Amino acid sequence: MGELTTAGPWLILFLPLLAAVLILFTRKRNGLSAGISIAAVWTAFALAAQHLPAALEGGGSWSISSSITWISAGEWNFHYGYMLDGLGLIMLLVVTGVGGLIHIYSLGYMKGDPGFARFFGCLSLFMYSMLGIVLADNFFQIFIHWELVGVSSYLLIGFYFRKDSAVEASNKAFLTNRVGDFGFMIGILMLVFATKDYMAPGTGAGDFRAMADVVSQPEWMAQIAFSVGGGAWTLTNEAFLWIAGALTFMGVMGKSAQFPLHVWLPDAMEGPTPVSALIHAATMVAAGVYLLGRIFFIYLPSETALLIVSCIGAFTAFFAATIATTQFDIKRILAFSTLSQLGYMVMAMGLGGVDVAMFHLTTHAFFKALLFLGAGAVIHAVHTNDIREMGGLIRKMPLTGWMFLLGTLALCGVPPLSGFWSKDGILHLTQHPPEYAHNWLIMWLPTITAVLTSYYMFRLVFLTFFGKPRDSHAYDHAHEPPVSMWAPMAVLCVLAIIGGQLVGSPETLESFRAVTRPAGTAEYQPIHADSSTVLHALMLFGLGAGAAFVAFSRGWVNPAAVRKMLGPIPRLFDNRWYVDDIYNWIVAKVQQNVARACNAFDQFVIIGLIVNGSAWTTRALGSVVARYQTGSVRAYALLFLAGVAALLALNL
Amino acid sequence: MITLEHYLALSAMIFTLGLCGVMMRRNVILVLMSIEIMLNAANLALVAFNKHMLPAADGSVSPDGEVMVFFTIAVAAAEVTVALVIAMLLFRRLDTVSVDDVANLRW
Repeated sequence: MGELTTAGPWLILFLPLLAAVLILFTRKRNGLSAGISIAAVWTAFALAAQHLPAALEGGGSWSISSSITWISAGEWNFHYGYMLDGLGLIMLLVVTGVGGLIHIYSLGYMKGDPGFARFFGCLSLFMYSMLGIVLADNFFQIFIHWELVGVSSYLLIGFYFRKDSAVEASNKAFLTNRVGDFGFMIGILMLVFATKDYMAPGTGAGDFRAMADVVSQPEWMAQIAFSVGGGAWTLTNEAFLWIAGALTFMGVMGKSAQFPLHVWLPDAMEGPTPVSALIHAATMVAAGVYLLGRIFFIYLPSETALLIVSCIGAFTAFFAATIATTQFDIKRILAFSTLSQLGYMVMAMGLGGVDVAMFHLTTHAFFKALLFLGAGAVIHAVHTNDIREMGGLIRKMPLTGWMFLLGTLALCGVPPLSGFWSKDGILHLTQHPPEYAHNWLIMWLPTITAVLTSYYMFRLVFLTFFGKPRDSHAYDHAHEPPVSMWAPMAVLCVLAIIGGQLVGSPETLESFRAVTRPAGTAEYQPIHADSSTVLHALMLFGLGAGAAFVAFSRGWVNPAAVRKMLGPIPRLFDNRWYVDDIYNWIVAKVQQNVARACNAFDQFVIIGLIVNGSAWTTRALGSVVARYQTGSVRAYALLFLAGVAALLALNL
Repeated sequence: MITLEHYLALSAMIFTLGLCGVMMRRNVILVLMSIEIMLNAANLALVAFNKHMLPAADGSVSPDGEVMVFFTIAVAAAEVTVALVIAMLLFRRLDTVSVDDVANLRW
């Protein structure tokens, strides 16, 4: 048994990779490829689940690990291994569980697609990359898998590679992530170099636990001083910590799509819907939040770093929610909603609520995957993404419709569904923030965002499932999805309903919190479902949903008139706060002109003046001097004489 | 009395003769011969200098200048060997011994 427990996580990590490699050879056989992929992910789930009892029993102190030396160079040792603790196990179960359900859903959704086997191969590659992030025990391994996830995300967003928009979206996702990863890499290197000398020899470089030990030592804190430019400029230890923390956070901003690196996520909806559900709602985008929890020891000593994290999270939550209120693409609304919820989680991390953030990550994975799968079923049925062409679909697809509605209620935080427990935990945190975060951004934006969330989700629900069909052709074609699609949705639906209480019941919540809370973080009081909390949640929900009901279900208020009244604000939301336009302007105008100037300099100065110029000068001089090479021996003798005579004349 | 100046004047005259030969003659053989004349002018100057400039305080004369002349003769012999072979090959290949006809090494 002991052997099995340490071997298990290795299997979890490498089974999906094995599946991806096998699928390379079984590409022609769709059924077999899908079977391999699904078997790999569910085996991983089963292997992960067997650790759950031990983890719950052991609380925060439970962890197993194993690693091999991957590269050894001088005093540097790079390890590849796993470290599985409570935090990792929760993430592992979410990734493999929700991932497994989405694998099954894909069976139905991708049926008949010419890239069926390739799709499952990419999914398995993604699972391997993602599990590597979850299980990694050091910074370098997590960075490698961070990039691997980027690659698999690129492959899956650009799955329909004949469609220009999909290819552009995949490039955009990859490039945006590179921007974040650059900061992430610098942050990792700063931290690793600063802690290297304090670790026992032979420790793997960037090992999380060894680093956490070093960072928690007061002597280390007093001694780190990072000099730049040959000691010309020295950082104080506080500045060092928050700069390294902020740079590392850039990786999170890229992967978890936080403002201002959020632009890729809405475009990533060009990928097949199961991909949107798996990668861009439930797992990959949550990797950033998970990373924050994993390396929380870096942020703990620096309130500035925590403040940066929480403010960016809070702003992203609000910012994305406002944009979601004016979109018409069903998947984009969900994408902006995901951005908004990720903002909540990141903010909660910044406020020190690692356990609450992980709790919300878990419940969000359930209901957001459900919503995406529901949206996929709708798109599958009506062949359009535009909610203006839908309407009344609940009569044609009641199963999907009601499950979608339940998912929406869970997202809006209606008690007693799962979203209530986690989201109100976060809202509670924002009402009683730590000393450093007492500002309006933290105190007010999340509450306003909660109202906006109910508003845009119910706008979506009313326009899609209720009212009169606006496109009779699409309506006539609508049908319930096949069993392989609705069964995973049903499981997710059950989880979305009871997931909160499952974790939210006092005893399990305690053990969940004990399991996910890193050592040293302050303890926050758990959410009690007392009348004031429930009332607060219902009030926020009622405000948003009521507004959507008035405007989009009953039509008592004409949305167009409201738009006109609000002046330029809806246009700001329509255009996503012009962030994409600013980036376009920077790339198309600023960067392009800088590139042109560089090119001109290269053409005229480097190539023209220096490279070709020196060649021309040499040739011109040569053609003059060459005239003296007449080949006539007597002329040479004469010149020789002249030379000797000149020398003599000079010397005598 | 024949002084050092006499020797040097003669040497300069012979050297100029040789130089003129090198400059004016077209025949390779004659150019080579002119070079030999110049070398011998230099040799004459060397032995003259040795005789008049180098006597030590006790009147004995060291043979430094004569030794130099022997070197010059030996090097000149070797040089002439090579030069004559080149001249012979020129005649075989190009059917000429005129230096003006052999002006191929030019730009």
